[in-house]
Amino acid sequence: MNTKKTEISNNLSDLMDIDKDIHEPARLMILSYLFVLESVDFVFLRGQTGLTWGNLSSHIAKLEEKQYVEVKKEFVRKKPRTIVKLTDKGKEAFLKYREKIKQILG
Amino acid sequence: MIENLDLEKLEKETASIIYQDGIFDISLGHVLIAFGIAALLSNLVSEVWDTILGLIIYLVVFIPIWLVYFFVTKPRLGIMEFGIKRKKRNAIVIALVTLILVANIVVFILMIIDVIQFSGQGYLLAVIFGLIPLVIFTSMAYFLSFNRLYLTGFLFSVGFFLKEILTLQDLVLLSNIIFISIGGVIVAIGLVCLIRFFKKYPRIEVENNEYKENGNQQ
Repeated sequence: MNTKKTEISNNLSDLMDIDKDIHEPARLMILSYLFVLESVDFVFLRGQTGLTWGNLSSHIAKLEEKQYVEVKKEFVRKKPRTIVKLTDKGKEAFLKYREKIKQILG
Repeated sequence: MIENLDLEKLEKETASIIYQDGIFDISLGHVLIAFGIAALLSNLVSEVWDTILGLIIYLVVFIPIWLVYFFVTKPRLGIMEFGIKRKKRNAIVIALVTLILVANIVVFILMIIDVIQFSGQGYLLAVIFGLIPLVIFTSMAYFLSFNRLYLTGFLFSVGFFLKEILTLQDLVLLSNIIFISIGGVIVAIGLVCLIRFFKKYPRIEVENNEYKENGNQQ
């Protein structure tokens, strides 16, 4: 009984170790798309996530700051195109986060 | 919840996102319509010219359809690059379809030079004609994770089979009408997808400062 209680407490304290930069729903959604695709542009991410330009931009900025994504800006026929790609660090962090959540929630 | 997030399923869904606009369906359905119309007009032109007429009718509609794709639907959807696994699957589709088409051309040539003979075996030929699009489209649907293509394949298969069977019974007019109607059904499915696509992805203006380097958001 006591062992079971300790196990639950340990699992709950594991919650504190969760990567909070990934745990945010919008960022989690962005990372999921980036995980299954090689690279995407802002227009694609905006269409799939339903976020506004401003929101998307701030979430990408946060992920870039953590070096989870790589952002490249280019011009195609005088129009701007922002390409986003998941870095190795981002891939690793995403998998680690997923594993952690699985462990905690069973 | 994240523990239930099926990344494999998400990858499959994203793989078929590019077909959401229905452009592929419209161009496929139009193949049946164009060649059905050309066959209807075959009394007016010679046998070779009805195929050329079919190609001309096809291109007249195909070019505007693909202009819509390049200038309207593609910019609304955005750009995505598939992962290595998906690229491999797409390469398999290209190889498989090329192989089947080359095999068909070889069989067609062998039939013309009488190496292979199907005389008196019209029904067998109808079954073969029906099976070819079914094999092509179902394998494409499987490797591209594009489920609507199973239905398109089935409709193509029925169209080719009925066209052959009815032509054998001297019901040429009816066979062509059915061929065109099936093409119309596929085009209609594509148009429904296109309307839904326009609703889901309205026209957007990409701002010049959509994202500024080094994390400075707008």
